[in-house]
Amino acid sequence: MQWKIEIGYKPTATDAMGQGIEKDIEDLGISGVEHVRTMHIYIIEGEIADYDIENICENLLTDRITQVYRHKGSLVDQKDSGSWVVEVTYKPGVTDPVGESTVKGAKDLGINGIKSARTGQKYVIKGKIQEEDIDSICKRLLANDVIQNYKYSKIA
Amino acid sequence: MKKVKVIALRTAGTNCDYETAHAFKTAGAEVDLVHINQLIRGEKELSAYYIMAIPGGFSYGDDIAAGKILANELKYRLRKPLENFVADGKLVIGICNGFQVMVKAGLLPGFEGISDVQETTLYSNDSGKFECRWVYMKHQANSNGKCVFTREIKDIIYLPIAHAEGKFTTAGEDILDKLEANGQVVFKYVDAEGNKADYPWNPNGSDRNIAGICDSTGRIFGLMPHPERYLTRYNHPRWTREDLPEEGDGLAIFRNAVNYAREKL
Amino acid sequence: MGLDKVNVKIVNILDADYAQLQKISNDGLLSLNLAEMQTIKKYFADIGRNPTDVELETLAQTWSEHCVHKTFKGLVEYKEYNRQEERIEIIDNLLKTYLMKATQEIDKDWCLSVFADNAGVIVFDDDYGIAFKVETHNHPSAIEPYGGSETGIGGVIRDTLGVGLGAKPILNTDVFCFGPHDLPYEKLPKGTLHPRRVFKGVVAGVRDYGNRMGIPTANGAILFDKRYVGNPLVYCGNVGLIPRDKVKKRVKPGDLIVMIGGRVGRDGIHGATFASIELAEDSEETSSGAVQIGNAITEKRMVDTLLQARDRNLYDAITDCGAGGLSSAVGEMGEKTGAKVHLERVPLKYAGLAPWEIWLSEAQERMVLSVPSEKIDDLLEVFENEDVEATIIGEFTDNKRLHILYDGVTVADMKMEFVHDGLPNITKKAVWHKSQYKEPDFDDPDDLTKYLKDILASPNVASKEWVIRQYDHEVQGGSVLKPLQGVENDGPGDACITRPLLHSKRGVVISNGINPKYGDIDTYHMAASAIDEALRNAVAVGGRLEHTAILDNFSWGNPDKPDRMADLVRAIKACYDTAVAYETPFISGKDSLYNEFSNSSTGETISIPPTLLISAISVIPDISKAISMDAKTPGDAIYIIGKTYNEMGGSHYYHVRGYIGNSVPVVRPKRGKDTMTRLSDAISLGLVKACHDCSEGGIGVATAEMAFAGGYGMKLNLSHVPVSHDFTRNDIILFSESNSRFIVEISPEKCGEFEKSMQGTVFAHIGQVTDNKKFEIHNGEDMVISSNIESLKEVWQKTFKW
Repeated sequence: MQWKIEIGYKPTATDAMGQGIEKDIEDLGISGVEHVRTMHIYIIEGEIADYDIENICENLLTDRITQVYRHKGSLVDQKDSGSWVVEVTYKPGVTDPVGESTVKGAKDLGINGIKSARTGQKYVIKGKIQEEDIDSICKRLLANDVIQNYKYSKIA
Repeated sequence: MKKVKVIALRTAGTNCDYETAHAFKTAGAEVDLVHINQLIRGEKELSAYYIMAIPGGFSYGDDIAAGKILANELKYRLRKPLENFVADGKLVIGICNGFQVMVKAGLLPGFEGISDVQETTLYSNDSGKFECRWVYMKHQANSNGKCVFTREIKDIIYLPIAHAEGKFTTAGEDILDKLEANGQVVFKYVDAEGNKADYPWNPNGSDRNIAGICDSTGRIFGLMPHPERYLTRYNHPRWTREDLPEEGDGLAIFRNAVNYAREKL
Repeated sequence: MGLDKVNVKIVNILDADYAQLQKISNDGLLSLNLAEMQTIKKYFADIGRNPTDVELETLAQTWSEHCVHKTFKGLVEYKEYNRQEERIEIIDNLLKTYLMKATQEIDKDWCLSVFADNAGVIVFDDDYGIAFKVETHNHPSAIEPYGGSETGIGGVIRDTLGVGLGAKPILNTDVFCFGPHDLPYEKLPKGTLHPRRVFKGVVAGVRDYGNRMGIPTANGAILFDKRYVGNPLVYCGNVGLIPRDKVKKRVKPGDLIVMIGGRVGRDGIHGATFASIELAEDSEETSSGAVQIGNAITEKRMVDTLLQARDRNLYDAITDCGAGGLSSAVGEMGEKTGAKVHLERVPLKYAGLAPWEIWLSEAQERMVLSVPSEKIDDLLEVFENEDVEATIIGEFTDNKRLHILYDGVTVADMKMEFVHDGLPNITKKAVWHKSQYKEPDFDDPDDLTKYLKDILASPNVASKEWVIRQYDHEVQGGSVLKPLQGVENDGPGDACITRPLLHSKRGVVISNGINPKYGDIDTYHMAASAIDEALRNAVAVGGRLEHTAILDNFSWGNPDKPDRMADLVRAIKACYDTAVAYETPFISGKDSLYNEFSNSSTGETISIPPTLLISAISVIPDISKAISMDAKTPGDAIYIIGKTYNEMGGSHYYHVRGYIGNSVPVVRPKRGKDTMTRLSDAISLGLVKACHDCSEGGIGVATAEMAFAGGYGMKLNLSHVPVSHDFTRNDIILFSESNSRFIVEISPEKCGEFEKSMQGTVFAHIGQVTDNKKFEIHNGEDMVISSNIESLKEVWQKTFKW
C-alpha cells in the first residue's frame, strides 16, 4: 500500500523557503510570480494501517504549531485555481536521507511496517506565468534532471 | 566538595558535545558523554546525574524538522526516566538543537511538567537560510531568580548563534503572554545597546525576540545561542580590538547550574 | 567457472585488434588508452585467458588519471621558446622531481607524514599532530552542484579520517571558481548549469554537509572567470587532529577486511574515470551515475565510532572509500600483502548490482579497516552500539594477489604487482611560448576613487559574507580568528585560527593563495605568487614560516595538449623554487586535469585557466599573540612593508579596465622570507595592532578594507611608498600587486621599536588612522582618492548582498 502525505505551512506561519524561491525566480528574469507556497511530500510504502499513518503525520511529520498535513487528497485545492503546481521527487536509487530517517522515526512510534519512505517537494506558484516559464523555473531552479524527476500542471 | 555529575546526551548528529562537556568541566562538574542508545539499553541510568545537557548539532540530520526525531526518542523511549529526572528537581539545559528537541518533546515550555501536546516551536529562520553570527541577548528582569541557569548573569550577554531553524513561535498569543507573565522568558534578542531590534539583531525573526525560555520551575532551560562557544575572551569576534575580561559570557550559565546542583541537590 | 550465474561477463580482448580494443574502452567508459589496453591484453594473453568485467574495471579504475596521476608521475618532454631560443628538458616524474624533492631538501623534523598517506601530517604539540588535505571535486559539481560539493567535503573529511589510524576532523576550507554570476542566460552553453545556480548549489552542499558534521568552515575564497562556466572548480579541504602515536599504519596478512558506514548502490559508478575525461554537452546524461548525494549523518556516526575504536587500538590500518570505492581502498591497502574479498557480503542499498558495480561503487560514507581477528568482536560492538553498519568482507593474505569472489565463484584474480605497477609509462609533450598581450596605453587618471570602487565591487574582491554566514565557523568552540573581522564583524580576514584543544593556547592557522589571472601571463609566476600569498596570509595573523607547511592543488585543462602541459611544468617548477626558498615544505597535494568543456554549438573547446590553489597551515604556540586586519585606533601609524614594483600584469586594476598586460608580479623569495620573518617577530612582540595582506587590488584595496573593517578613516600619502625606480604613476603605486607586501597599523609609542625590529627590510610610514571616517590618499599635494569608508564598504558589500 502506498501513502502520499503532504505537509504545508499554516497561513499564520512564514514559508521562508517559498519567499526565497520567489526571489530566485525574479533572479531568473521571470516576472509575474505573486506567491510561492512550499510543501513537503512523503511517499510511504508498506503494510500500515490508517490510524498508523495518522499517527505518523501527527507525531512525526507535522509541527502542529506551524504546519498542516493531508494523507488523503491534497493541500492544493480550489482556492489555488489558476496556479501552477510543481512536484519534484528523487529518481530511484538516489540517496534520500530524510526518507531513511522517516522509517527510523516511525519505528520510535512503534510502527514497523514501512518498507520504504521517499521524500519530495511540492510548490504552488501563483501568478501570471506561461508554461514555458514554469518549465524554465523547474529546469533552472527547482529540479536537477540528473537526480530528480519533476512534473507540473496548472490547477483548473 | 560534592561532585556534580552531568550527562551530555549524544546521538547521531550531535556535534557540540565536546565543547559543552568542556564548559561544564570548566564550571567544576564531572561530565559523561552518553549515547542515547546506552540509556535505551539500560547501560547508563539518567538518575545517576544531576544535570542533563542536550548539546547542539543536527540530531539525525534534522531530517523532517530540527530535533524532531530525538525529541520523539525521548518522548516515546525514555519517557519514564525523564519524568523522574524532572520530578526529582534536577536540571536540564538544551542548547540550539537541544532547545529544538526540548520544545518538540514537550519539556518546554513546561507550564505543568512535561506536556503531551507541543505548545511552542522553533522553525525556519525568516531569512530562509542557516546563519552563523553573534547576537546580543538581554536577560529578562522579571525572570531574574526563576531560571537557575541565569541567577547570576550580566544584563546583556553576547553569544554566537548558528542555526537554520531558530524562529521561536507558539500556538497563540496567549501562550506568549503566559510565558512572559510567568517569568519564563529568559533571554530576548536585542541590539548592542539593549533595545528591541529586528534582523539581524533578531537573527531568525523569533516572536517577541525570544531567544531562550525556561519551564515554570526555572530548572529546565533552552536557548538558541551557544554559551559553550564563548568561554574565554579569545572566542569573542573582537577580542583583537576590545578590552574584554578573560572569562566569556557563556561560562556563567554552566557555573550557575553546577553551583545550584551542588547546593540544592 | 559459473560466471554467468553471478552476473559477471568475460570480455574478449585476446581476439581484439587495435580498433576493437579502443572501442571496448570507449563503450565501457573505461578511459583506457590503446597502449594501456594492449598492456592488459598482453597480461591476459600470458596467463591464457580473457579478463572478466571485474578485472577490466579494476584496472581502468586503478590506472585512471584520478587515482594514479599518470601526468605527474610520467615522463615529460618540455620545450621552451623564449626570445627565439629553444631549450629542451626531459623530466621523469614531476611529483618526485619537484614537489617531493622540495620537501626532502627542506627536511623539517616537524613533518610527520608527507605524500605517503591520505593527508599530510605535521607536529602540533608533544602529543598531537595536525593533518591537512585538500581535494578537488570539480566534475560532479558541474553536473549536480549540491550533491557534488556535499560529496566533495564528505570525501576530504574521510581523507583525514583515514590518515594514519584516523584524525579527528576540526576544520574545513573551501575554495570555489565559478563562471560569472551575472552571465546572461542566452550566453550559457547548452548542457551547462548557470554559474549562479552552481554557486548557490555548491555553497548549499558545503553548508549542509559541513554544518551537519559539526566541523567549522572558516577559510576559503571564491573566484570568477568565464572559462569556469563549463568547469566550475570546487576545492574542499579538511584539517584533522591526530595523536602522534597514531600516525602510522600497517596491514598484516591474516587481518580481516571490514567495511564500515553506508551501504552500496550504483552511486558514482565510473566517478574516477569520469573525472579524467573532458566534459561535453551530453555529459549530464551519460554520467549521471557518477553523481552522488551525501548523507552527512552517516558520516558523523562513522567519525564518532571510529575514533572510539582507534583509541582502543582495535585495528591495524584504515583507508577511505573514495574514488573507485572498494577497488581502490582494498587494492591500496593490500598492495604489499594480497587480499581476498567476498563481494556477496557487501551490504547493498538495493538488489541487482553486478559484482563489478559493487566493487567500484563510490557510494559515500564508507571506510575500510584492517582488523586483527582477535579484536573483531570488540570492534564490531563499537559500531553496533551506535547503529553503524560494519561488515567483514574478506581478509588480507600473503600471496600478493587480488582475489575477488562472489558466492564462492572467482570473479577476479590478478597479481597486485600488475594492478599497481603494470601501467605503461607515458611521455607527455610540453611546449611553452611566452604569452604576449596588448600593453595598456591609457594615462594615469587624476582621480582613482572610481577605480578603487570598481575593484572593491568586482566579484573576486567583493565581500563573501552571504556565503560565510551560512557556514558554522564557531562549532567545536575553538574559533580564535574568524573569517569576518572588525568592528561590525564583517571585514575580510586574511586567515583563520582555531584552537583544537580547548585547554591549550596552541593554535592552527589556515590560509590560502590563488590567482589564476597571473597564469594567463606565466604560470611560473602564478604559482610562485600563490605560495607567497598563502604564506603572507598566514604571517599576517601571527603564523610563522618556521612552522608552516603548504599543500598544492592543481586544476588544469587537458595535459595531452602541449601548451597546457607546459603551463603545468612551469607551475610545478615554481613550486619547487619558491617552497625551497621559503623553507615551507609541501606535505600533500592533488591534481584534477582535463577540465575542459566542448561547446557543440560553437565547436570551441574551452579550458579552465590553469588554477593552482596553495593552502598553508601554520602552528602557533600562543593564540593570544594573534592579530586581525581591522584598523583599531585613530592616530595610529600605517606602514607599508615590502617594495612596490611596476607589476600590473594580471592585476585587478587592469582587469576592471579590460586589460591583462604582461608585467606579472614575481616573487623575490630571499627578500620575501626576510620580510615575513621580521614581521612575525614584530607581531609576536606585540608591536603590531593590525596587519593586512596586500594582494588583489594592491595598497588601495588593502588599506580601504582595513579602514572600513575598523570603522575608522585613513589618510595616506603615496609619495612615501617605497617603489622601484622605473615608474611614477599613482595608479601603479596604488594598485600594483607586487608580492611579499603587507599593510600594518602601529600605535605611535611603538613606532620606534617596530622600525628597529624591521631594520634591513623595505618599509615606510605612509599615513595614519583617522577618526573622521574619511578615506583620503594623496601623492604629495595631489588628491588621488577621496571617499569615505561607508561608501567604500557599501560597494564592496553590494555585489553579493543576496
